[in-house]
Amino acid sequence: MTEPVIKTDHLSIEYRIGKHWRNAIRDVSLQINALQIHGLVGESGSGKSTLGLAMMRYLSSNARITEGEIMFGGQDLVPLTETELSEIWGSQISLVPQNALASLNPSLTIAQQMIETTQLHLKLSNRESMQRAVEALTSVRIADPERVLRRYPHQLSGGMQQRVMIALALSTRPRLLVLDEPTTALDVTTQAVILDLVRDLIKEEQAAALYVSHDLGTVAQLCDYVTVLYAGEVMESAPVRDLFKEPLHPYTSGLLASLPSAAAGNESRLSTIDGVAPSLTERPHACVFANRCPVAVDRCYTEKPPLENVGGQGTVRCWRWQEIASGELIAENSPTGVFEEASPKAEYVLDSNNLDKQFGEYNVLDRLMGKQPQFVHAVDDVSLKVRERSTLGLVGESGSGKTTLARVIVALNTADDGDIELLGLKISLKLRERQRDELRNLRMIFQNPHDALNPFRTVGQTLSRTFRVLSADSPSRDEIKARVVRLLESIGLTAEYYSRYPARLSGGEKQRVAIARAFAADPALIIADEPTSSLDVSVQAVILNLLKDLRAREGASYLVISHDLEVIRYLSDWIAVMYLGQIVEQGSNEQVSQPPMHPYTEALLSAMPSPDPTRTDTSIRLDGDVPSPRNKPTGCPFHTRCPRFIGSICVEEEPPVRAAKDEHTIRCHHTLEDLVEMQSTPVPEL
Amino acid sequence: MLIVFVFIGVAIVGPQLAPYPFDQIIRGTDVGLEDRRAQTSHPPSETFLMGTDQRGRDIYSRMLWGARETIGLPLIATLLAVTAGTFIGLLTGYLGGWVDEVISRILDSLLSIPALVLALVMISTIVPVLSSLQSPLVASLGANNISLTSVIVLLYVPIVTRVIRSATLNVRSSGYIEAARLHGESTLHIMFREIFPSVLPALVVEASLRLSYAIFLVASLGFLGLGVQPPSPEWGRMVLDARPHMTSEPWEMWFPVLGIAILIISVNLMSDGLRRVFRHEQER
Repeated sequence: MTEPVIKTDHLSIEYRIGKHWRNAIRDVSLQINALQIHGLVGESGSGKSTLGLAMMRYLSSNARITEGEIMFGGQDLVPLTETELSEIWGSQISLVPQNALASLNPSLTIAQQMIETTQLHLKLSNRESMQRAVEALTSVRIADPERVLRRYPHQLSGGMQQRVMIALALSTRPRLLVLDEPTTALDVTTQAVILDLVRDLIKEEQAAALYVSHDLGTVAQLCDYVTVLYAGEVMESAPVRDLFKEPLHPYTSGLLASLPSAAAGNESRLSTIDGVAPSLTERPHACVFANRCPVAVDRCYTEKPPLENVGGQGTVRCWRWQEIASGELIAENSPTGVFEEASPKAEYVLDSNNLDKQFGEYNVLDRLMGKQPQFVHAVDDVSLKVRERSTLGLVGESGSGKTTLARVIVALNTADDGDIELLGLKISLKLRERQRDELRNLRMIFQNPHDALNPFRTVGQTLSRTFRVLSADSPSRDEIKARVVRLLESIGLTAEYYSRYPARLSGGEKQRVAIARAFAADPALIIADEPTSSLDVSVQAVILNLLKDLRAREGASYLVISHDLEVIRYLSDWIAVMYLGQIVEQGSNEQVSQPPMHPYTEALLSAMPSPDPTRTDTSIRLDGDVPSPRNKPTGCPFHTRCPRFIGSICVEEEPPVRAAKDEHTIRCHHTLEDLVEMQSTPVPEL
Repeated sequence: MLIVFVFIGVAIVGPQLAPYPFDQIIRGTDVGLEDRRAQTSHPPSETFLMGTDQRGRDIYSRMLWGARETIGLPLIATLLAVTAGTFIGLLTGYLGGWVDEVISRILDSLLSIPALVLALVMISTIVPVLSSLQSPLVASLGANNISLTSVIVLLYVPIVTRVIRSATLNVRSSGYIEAARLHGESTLHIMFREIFPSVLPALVVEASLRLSYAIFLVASLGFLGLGVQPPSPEWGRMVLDARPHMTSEPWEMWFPVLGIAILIISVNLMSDGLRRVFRHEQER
């Protein structure tokens, strides 16, 4: 094997919290070889970003390296000074950060920033560095580099900004690229393009990369070698195929099993990892994972397991890995049973027709000055129906109008047009005009659990209020309290939580309380807007199980909104795909996942990173980004990016809604037969 | 913080502590001397802690009496302004739309008038009108005090409103506010029960900051001769009275000036301290 590009040896890092130094990273040894993309996976708080940045020897001011060395090109980075490091940073090790917009200087053009970098590190002349900038942008597949160079960062889309960041990082031909969650803020279709790009560029530039991410799917697709980090320690590290096929550490297998795609079917529960990750101040001294491990034995609580070499290239830190490797022990919290059948009924809970919502930037001053208002058509003539006791999944990228649609249905925004029927009765589009019973029957779970609960109210106060305001039978104070406690138990929280403030709850617990609030007054339909997107995978599994349990038990229906097709497919009976304010396809779960399908659905499915490194069908990639709804394309809104573009008909005419069997509809100019035929054969290379 | 409470305490009980009424001209006989003349322009001594002024009034007593106007009036005015500003700020911040547009524009236009100019205009117009009313209420409070208070309220309501409005905007779109809306909660419930606790830190800090400005304004107006009217011993006024003979009897000016300075500095320190306390709370 060749000399590694970078190598850490027993690296430990501490953070100062108050007056104490707390161990954040403990005894981490890893190495990255040339041409290799090394994945660093972990949940939030595992220290993966700290470690990623520490590989560059970049530490925040309250952190220090206590032990170990970082060997880069035969040199230990640990004792170097800022000045010495700044010669390495940018020229030999580059960083692609999570938030591209925040990392680009908003007051300089792209050209100025790129020239600055190459001049500083490579001492190039103006002409040469300009040329290098154009080359770098071309290498990240930017079609018109000269034009992009003249732009300011905010004039570029998110995907474009991230490409510029990568170009900037690569423009000095570094030997190591550190990618810190580079695609977390991007849409799936854009993410797929960026990941392809990173993979190709690392090969082209003969570089190596450290890819830090919480997303097992993208890691499986991109990386060659993976290290799993938990509570600042390496749990397992192995070549990507081995790790995903035969995980040796209980934490790794737990993580993999908690993915919705790992479920045996929509009826079976997801396996979960109990408990929460220890905070920086309360890490166990023995095995850090022991208290959440389903197969922990006494020894795990008293002695720290060493990082052992397993045959091949992997290492694992577990006392029982040999039993796991031989297959004697299944290290999973094996899912217990299936969900009660929630048989959908024929009646509709929600029947909404021709909903329309436009947003205008139009204030009093503009009106006085007689300015023309600018309208954004967020929801364009959408009809949705949810059957009783069923789940409708609404999927789409950012800007597709799915959240607006949800808000219009619950009337947080008032629709401009259309009508909504709840349980067969027409209800007002205005929140103020809705009756208490209508409010009670139509509840919502919000995206961000951290601001869903009033920080100045205890859990009990929050939930009691809902009962008091919405309960049909105006219960007494004691009765309310009893109901709250019962509700807490039904979401798996003890009565102790009654008097806790939200600040003392973890993200998953907050979301559970928010779900409890939605269920409090016996609703008919619950709208959940991205209920798990800000949670870790292991917590997501808990929430998804809970949602399914509650549906069966309470007989409610859901409208679930997500950008994550995996989550949608796991939860839903019926799926609607939304693009730029329109529903482009809807049908049952199976119908939507197989031909004939809308080209956009096809692209979404293909872009979805799956935690299976052997999957290779990366056939469909969408060019560009979702167009701004402000300048919506004419004709079919998807024509600017459509892989099945026909010709002028797509640009000029709105596509018809074609009905396949059983209410499955597709909005496309292609006939259904054409779509089936095209989607059964691989796409031609463009 | 402590100093502020000492000042407020002085404002409340000061008159009882004062050895002499604020307007008594001290004669020699009052302090056991043969001399019947007024003890004018005494430097600070054991008998007169802070000396006496041109007319022979005890400055120490005047300081104690004056604390009431110097601190009390701004305090009341600030409380009024903060209450009104909080209400308007919550309302405009939460409702948004045309209510916000109209109210904010009106308040913006108020903000564009320089403070002192507005004060001069208001006092010169309100005082005669109020005095001509002959109402017992005006007489008991003093036309000047009423006009001073309303100047401060008018000046600070827009500023407080802005602060509260922007704090409200921060939480307005949070999940818990929307959840409350979906409960069908009334606007007042949402404003005061849901939003109010989270703007409280900003409110308290802003109120203490406003207080220090109000004290300053009242003292400045007093110095300009427009504030509390003589013979009331407001500190700003005392500075004005002392100004003509500041070279011969400097102590006459020292004490009120020192009083104002220490008061304002301590109120400012208190507001800094409160801010730190709240930030600490948030981090926990």
